Amino acid sequence: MTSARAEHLARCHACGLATQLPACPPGHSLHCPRCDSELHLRKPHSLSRTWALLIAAYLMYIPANLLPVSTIVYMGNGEPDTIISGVMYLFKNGDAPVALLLFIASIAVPFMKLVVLTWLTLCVKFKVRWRPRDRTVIYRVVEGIGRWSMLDIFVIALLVAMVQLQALATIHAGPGAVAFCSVVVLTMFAAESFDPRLMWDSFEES
Amino acid sequence: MHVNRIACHDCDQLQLVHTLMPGESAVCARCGSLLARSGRDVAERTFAYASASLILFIVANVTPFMEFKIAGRVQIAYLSTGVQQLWADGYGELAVMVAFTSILAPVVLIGGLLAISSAMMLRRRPSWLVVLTRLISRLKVWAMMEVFLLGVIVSAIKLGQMAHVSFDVASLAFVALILSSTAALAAYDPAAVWDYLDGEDPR
Repeated sequence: MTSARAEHLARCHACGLATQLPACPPGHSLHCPRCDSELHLRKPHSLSRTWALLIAAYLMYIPANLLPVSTIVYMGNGEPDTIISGVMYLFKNGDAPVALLLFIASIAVPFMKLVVLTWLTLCVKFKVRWRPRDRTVIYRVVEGIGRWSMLDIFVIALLVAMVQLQALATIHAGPGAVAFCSVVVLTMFAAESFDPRLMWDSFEES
Repeated sequence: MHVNRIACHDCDQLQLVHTLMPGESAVCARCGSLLARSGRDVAERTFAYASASLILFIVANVTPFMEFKIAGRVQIAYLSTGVQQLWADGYGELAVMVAFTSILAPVVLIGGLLAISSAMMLRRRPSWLVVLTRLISRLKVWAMMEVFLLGVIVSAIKLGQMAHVSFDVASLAFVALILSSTAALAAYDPAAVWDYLDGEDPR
């Protein structure tokens, strides 16, 4: 059982072709013979990129939860809603399934994603050997579910589109929605920049 | 039998995989990730679903999506109304993200699949095929039509408390679009395109 890296083979990020690298690194970058993408043994600067994106996401997570994501103006009275107050309102008004769905997509998933990606990155940093197979599965799940957090943004876009009855009722987006959207995008990029192969590398270094 | 050397995408384990029979797939012996799969008639099936998707996409975008009735007034919304309204409200960032994930990325994805499968069926290897195949792989996560549909359902339930909401032609087309584009992506296999670009006959 050997890794491609041990054999000096680089798997192309784009097309998956395994290409033999020269024993000593040349001064210039190497490109895939099949699709011309730049070749790397591992995603370049994977950990520092992931950290940078995660820190940015943590920072944006604060205004995303404190600022209103939407404001309903009904009969001239504006009522701003944050993500949490919106979910609470739905719970109180008997729409528990929808409230649960929004709770999962807007609160649980982004938070879990930040925590899990931080944990996975720390595991690589400290060369933790705990259950690499399970960690790989967890990484794939986190990478796959991130996009569902866009749900709240789409709901706001649709509400804003539908409720434009000037004097009677209007709905406007709020600054919290921008921050929330950036959390979703930043964590999607963070998941993409993390290289799962790093979790397996510590098994070969000894 | 031809043997391919494949490095696992998730753990870098180097493995030998023989040419797969249609319907077979290979998983990594170390981490269990999918290494390769082999579908039947990749180009033809992708073409069929992608062309259906393109027609449905046009219908979903040019016909009214939802109607909202409150106090004798009717508000009609198109798929793109939310984008326009967010833009008009000064939330350009949100407008761009919603437009990109619900309209632009899906149409490029569908058009791209159509172009790739057409090239394979016509036995052509144009120079843009490589670039397009790479683009499609990167774009896949950003096309969020199914998340958007869930958003439609949630917002209809939310608005249903205030007023009467009805769905128009475009929402039916949109549901069908999600089914057909999901089928197109399931039929499509980038590895088959790369093998084809390497000179093999299309599978």
